[in-house]
Amino acid sequence: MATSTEAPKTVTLTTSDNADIQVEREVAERSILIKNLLEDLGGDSNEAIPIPNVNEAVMKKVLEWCEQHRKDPPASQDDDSDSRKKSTDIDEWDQKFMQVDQEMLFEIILAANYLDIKALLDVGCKTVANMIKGKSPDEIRKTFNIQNDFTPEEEDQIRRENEWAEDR
Amino acid sequence: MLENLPVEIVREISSYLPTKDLKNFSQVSNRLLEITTELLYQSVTVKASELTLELPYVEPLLLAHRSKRRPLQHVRTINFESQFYRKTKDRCPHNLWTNKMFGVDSVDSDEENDEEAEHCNFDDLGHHVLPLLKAFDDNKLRCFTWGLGTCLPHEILGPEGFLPEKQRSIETLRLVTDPTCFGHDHMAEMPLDVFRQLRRFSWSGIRSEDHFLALQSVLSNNRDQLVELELNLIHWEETSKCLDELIDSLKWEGGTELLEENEDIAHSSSKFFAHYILGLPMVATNPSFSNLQVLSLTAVSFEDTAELMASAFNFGGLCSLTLRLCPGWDKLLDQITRSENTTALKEFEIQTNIEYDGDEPDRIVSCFLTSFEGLEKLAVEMGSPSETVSIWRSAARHESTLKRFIHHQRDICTDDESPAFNELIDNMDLSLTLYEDDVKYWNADTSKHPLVNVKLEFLGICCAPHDQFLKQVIGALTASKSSLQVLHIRQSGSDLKWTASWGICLKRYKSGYYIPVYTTDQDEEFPVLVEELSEFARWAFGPDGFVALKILAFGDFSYQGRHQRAQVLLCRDESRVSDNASGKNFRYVKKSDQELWELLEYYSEALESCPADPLFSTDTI
Repeated sequence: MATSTEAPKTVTLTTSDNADIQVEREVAERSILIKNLLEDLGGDSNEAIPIPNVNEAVMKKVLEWCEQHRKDPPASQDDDSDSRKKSTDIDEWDQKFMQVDQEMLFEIILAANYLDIKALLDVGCKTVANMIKGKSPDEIRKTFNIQNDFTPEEEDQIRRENEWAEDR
Repeated sequence: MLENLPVEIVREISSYLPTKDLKNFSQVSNRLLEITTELLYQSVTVKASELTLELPYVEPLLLAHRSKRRPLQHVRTINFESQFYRKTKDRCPHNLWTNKMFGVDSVDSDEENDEEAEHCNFDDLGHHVLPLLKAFDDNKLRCFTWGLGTCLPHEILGPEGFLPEKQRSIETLRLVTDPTCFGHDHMAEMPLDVFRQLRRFSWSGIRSEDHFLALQSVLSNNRDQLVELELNLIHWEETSKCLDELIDSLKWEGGTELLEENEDIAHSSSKFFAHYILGLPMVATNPSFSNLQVLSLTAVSFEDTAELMASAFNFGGLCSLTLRLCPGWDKLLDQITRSENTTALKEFEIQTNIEYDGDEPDRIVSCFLTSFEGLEKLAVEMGSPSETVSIWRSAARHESTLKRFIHHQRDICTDDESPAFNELIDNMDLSLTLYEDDVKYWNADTSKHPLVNVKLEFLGICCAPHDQFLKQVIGALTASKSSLQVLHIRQSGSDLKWTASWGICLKRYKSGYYIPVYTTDQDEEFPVLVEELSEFARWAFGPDGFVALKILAFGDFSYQGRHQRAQVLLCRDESRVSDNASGKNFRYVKKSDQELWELLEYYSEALESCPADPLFSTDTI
């Protein structure tokens, strides 16, 4: 279908730290936010698009993912609200892609949320869910460096209330 | 950093957590507790031990109810659950009372005290559960499961009970009731007709006249909006006696036109069930149950009604059909095949029973399977010997979609030397010894194996790993079968009363009781494998085996842990994966193998399909 031999259209994104990144339009349009912006601007505007919430390092990482997934079909929306979702079906490339330090992982998730890239947000959330699974509350605190702000009494009370959810 | 994520992202992450992990996550900090409480409490489960069914463990939820956070306001789904392991007969706490009152030997002989004897444990059940149910806001429940396998306390589902009065917006109702309990003679009326928004309805253990009248009313009010329907009558012959009694009492009351105008309905309990209870019209014009997608029937007879059922039910719209132990199943399938009403089935399970099988059960199943395409899950259990190869060829018709395949055979043991003589037991070779030439041929030319092009992820097969036979039967599939993740060697737990386990070493006692011989590995106990299974596992996980295989499951996984003593789970031993054939390339699945347990959970339905024994014992009292 696309038989045009002309060079693919590109767009320029300006990140929060004022770096300009040039990227193929098709890749950038994995982000619904950017896609809508480009449509609003109409035609062949060459203006750089400001992305004030994402810095260069994170943007590059996100675009790496978009590049890899540029041809993915749109996700089917068969949300089964009753059943909990599965977190084990992450493909191999994505698993490797997500092997970054925690700060980067959360930056990617925030960026995916802001840029409206549903599939990347899902992969990020699944990765975090897998880091939580099988851990006790204390192990979770250690993993993510979270302060325990319960009093011992509160903690004991909640543990007893939630006892119905033990095992499976 | 995780602490600072926006609420909607924390919610998104939580949605991937199983209940137990979500619980732990919510106990991390105040903020996480606040964000996750709604999701954690959306669906709650109250468990009861099988031995004290009258005392479900409601205390934690009652405690939660008193907390300032009021987490119970979020509950939309409540499940009452218990195991179905040993107490499969006289299960309802009523029985204890009837036995005491009428002097039958009681199961556990408490201190015999007159006051005690008059007290009925069943009454405790309602008193115990009601305070919890009262904690929910009116009309907020969408899903209610009574899975205890007892009668339903009238405080909950009787006239003026809690559900009919306060929770009429229920969309999913699942009931498991004790079909053998006679303690319910009074107050068994269940006004199920008040529920008019049901989309999923399931009832196992329907037996009394009141039950059937309740079923009739619930179906008549929800027939065309039901998406899922599951009915388990446990044992058709027993049930049909009860239906006959119901016919008689309806006649006495001189009530129904249906019976007066149609003599033959009064003479056939299966016709009565179809017309009066299910409410199918005498002449089918438009299919009833027009929105039904999932249908599961156990021990429902089609002997006199196959033609009517085939046209009255919307089989064309179903995506899942399960038929277990249904007399006349062959007539029904034959009718559906002939009707040319193309089905869109994605899941099909058929469990026959040699007592009900007609002349050519295997031909009927094969014809049915070849009459359409698109199955993703298939489970077949039939008598033996049967034409396994022809069933496999028909299954291969679905090669582009089929992901899970389960095949099992059982028949009456005719070996009068065997302790199992005259009992129903597994056929240990799937009748494939009759096809010895084929099997040899498959090994010489793998492309001739009927299932060679099916990209199975799960294969469950009733075939012993002895003498390398199983290896020969499925060996041809290793070449192309990079997709197989779980291989399940099925041996029915109830057979072990008479026969040896094909997979694990058992220690037997004179009483017939058995336990596995255990070995200990890092504080966990595992059953010792017999040499044949060890050798098979070494091959399956080895370089000539299945490259993607994650789990080799052995034994009977029906009703979760009912046959736990005779199960074993093996997985690839990554640390020794490149060893040569003499080395051990597999190990036991350990408690800490999180990912493997998730995989087993994902395939639990396949592991549990075609259970050899019924939910409730069918020994007549």
